[in-house]
Amino acid sequence: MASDAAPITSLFDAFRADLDDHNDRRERLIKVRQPLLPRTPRRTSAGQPRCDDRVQTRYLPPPPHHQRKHGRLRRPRDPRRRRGQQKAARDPGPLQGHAPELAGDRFWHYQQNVSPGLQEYIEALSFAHYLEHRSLITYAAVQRSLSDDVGGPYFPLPVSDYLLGLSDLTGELMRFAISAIAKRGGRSKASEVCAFVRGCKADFEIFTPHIRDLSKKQRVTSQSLQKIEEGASFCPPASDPAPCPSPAAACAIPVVLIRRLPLTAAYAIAVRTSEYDLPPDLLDDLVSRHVSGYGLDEGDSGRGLGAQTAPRER
Amino acid sequence: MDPQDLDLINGLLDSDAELREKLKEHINDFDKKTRTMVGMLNKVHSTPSSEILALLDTVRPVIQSCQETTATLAALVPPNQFWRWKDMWTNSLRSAAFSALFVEYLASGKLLSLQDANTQLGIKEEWKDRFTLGVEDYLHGVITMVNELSRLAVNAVTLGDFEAPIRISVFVKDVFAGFSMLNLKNDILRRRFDSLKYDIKKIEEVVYDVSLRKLAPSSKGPAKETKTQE
Repeated sequence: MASDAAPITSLFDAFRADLDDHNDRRERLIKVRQPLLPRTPRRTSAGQPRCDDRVQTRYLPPPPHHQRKHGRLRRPRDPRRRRGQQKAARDPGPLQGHAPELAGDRFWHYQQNVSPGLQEYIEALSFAHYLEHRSLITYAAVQRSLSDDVGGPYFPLPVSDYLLGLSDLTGELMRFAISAIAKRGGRSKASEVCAFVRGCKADFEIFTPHIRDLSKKQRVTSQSLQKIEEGASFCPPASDPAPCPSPAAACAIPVVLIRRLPLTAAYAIAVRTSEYDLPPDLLDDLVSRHVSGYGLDEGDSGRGLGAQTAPRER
Repeated sequence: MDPQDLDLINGLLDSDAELREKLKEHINDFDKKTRTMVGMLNKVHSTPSSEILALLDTVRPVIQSCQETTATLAALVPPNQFWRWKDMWTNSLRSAAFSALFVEYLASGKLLSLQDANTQLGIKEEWKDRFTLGVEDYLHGVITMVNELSRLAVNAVTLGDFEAPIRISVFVKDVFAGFSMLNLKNDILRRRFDSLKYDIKKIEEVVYDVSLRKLAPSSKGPAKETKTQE
């Protein structure tokens, strides 16, 4: 009996090597996600050429209720990070470097560990693609970006990660649209994004039964969509271009509304604006002037705007 | 979304769903077999030691029949996708491994190696990326067997076999020594590993009782006794 001890321990010796190998690899792969995120601000601050001028819009902080609701799911991001994300999108370095770790049957072994990073990557990649082509990146294109020079894929792209990553894109587009509203001509861009996100939401709906967690993300997409819709209704209704009223009268009322109300009231602004027959240019100016003071605390922004729109105060 | 892409993704999802259905069908079958085996092996606790070999002979054909199932599953799983579908059959496979291990211990008093366990279940080395009994599942099977052995130590004494607990005690301690060498992460395997300690305690108590009353062969009795009193 005692002689059995030796074979048993030698058996377990092999298991130890196997389990250690598995645990080490698993930890390495979980960390893949980390270099993708923190390095993005660093890269942009290093003075590299800017990626796309169109996203150089001023970032509009979401109203507080938005942060509370989505604090867990989505942290508000600064534009530096967003630009960096696009850079990251063009350079799947961290994933590429680990390709041998994911070769063969290993990919599916560690898919759950890799998937958050992969989704983050797809989100960034699809955002960059949208900015360039105004369309949704195809499955094949994502897979191509995850292939070596001769087109051999590092690993098969899971449909679930592809769809879930795209689902995250809608949140990113929401921020893009909302901040675009502040810019001249941004409101038409916002409505374009709005239509695009609406399309995405409809397309993803049919996949929800197949993919776990997609329905959760669809809910977030709906909320994003709602925010864009509310934001996009800044667009003035199609009325015939009337002569501009006196600047004082034009500025007074909308600014008060914009300053005090959260974005959800944008609809109301659009409706009321029609009463004053504001030309779109003037409205653009109003909104962007307001937004430039938005980040400051309430009192400051009030005074700042007050100074600009002096007639209102008197 | 591009309509072509939409079709592509739909196609991919449909084929996955289809494969899942097929696998499920065979896994149900596998599950039935493993349950049968576990049920039969449960009788060990009420079978006198002289009849155990006969009981094992009834279990062996069922283990044999698992070979067909593993072959079908291996044929269904696409290359390199073992880990993708593994969760579907993990439980059944662990029970099957347990059955093979338990039968081997009862027949020869030895620990069935991982390789032999694979062979008994008809799993071939070249299926490695499609269907295999991995280290983790094998170890789960070992733990289940030890859990069962702690029961058997008690029940063997009830049936008048006073030597079995001592054999079990030696064997389980060897297995435990093996497990102690592993660096386990805080996962299910680690938690189940903890259960081994309770099994050992239970077995030691039985050995102590048997030794104290000099029911077991005297050569091993005193040694065990001092061990348990430490």
